[in-house]
Amino acid sequence: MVSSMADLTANLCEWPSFGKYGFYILFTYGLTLLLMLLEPLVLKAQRKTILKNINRLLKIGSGRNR
Amino acid sequence: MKINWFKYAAPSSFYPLAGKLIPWFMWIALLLSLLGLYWGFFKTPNVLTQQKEYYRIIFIHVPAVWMGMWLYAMMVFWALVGLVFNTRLSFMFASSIAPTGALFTVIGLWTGAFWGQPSWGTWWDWDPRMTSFLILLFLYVGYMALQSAIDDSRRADKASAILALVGLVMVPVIYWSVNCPNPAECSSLHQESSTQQIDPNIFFAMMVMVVAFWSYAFGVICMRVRNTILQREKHTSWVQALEEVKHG
Repeated sequence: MVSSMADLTANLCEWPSFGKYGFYILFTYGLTLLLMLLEPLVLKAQRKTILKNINRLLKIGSGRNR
Repeated sequence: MKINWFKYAAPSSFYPLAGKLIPWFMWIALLLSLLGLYWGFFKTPNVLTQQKEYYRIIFIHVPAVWMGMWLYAMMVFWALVGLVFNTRLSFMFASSIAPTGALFTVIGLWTGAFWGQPSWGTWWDWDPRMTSFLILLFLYVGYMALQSAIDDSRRADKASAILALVGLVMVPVIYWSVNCPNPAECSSLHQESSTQQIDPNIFFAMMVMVVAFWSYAFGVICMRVRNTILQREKHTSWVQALEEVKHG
């Protein structure tokens, strides 16, 4: 019987490089990868919002000049 | 050929340059990460002194911890340049480094916990290295909080630069927390730095990951600086004339 999440993950991933420590290694690498992928994606989304805001400002400005 | 470096101190000159550099940094980071992890998982022994396979967390943990400290020093450098020369781009750099530095500090703490559990039998211990590193995370968070608490960006830059300067004292504290001259005075679960005695394959994989992390950090810092430039200079004619703004 699998007693804990650690045992379950360790049983699932006894890859030679992990030994019985798949839980620890996978969680370490998994979170790092997730955070390092998220950061550029968030920055891209932020950039889109900033560009839209500036574009809106420009349209308001040109509307007033007319 | 003579390069005028001061030309790139102007946000209008740096913005296109950063745009060209980002893909290079990101590709280098990706390729080196793959190389470092391949080397770390397939070319290294399964046991490191008394530690079993879980020691492979080293390939993320050590580079992330180093990055957390180096990025803090880099942030202070740019903050100092900003204070001395009153250059806008320096402050933008300093504020753009902070979130990436905080990210690496979180990764360092997280991976340390996941390494500590199988090797020391505990997720956390108030040992000098871990405690001082946690304080470094608080400094990053304090810097970002102060920056966003003040509406006037120039005042926010200066106030947070001073906070960063004061916090620089933590970097040598973190280093000496395991390398102190008298180990009896600062007993630690961490062992002293021993990069010279380590297996060459482990050392190689670790160094490749360090360069990959640096490259990643430069890439995302350039992205954030570009966003900050757009945000702060949105009323200038050069930003309003940018192609991406017109199609935004």
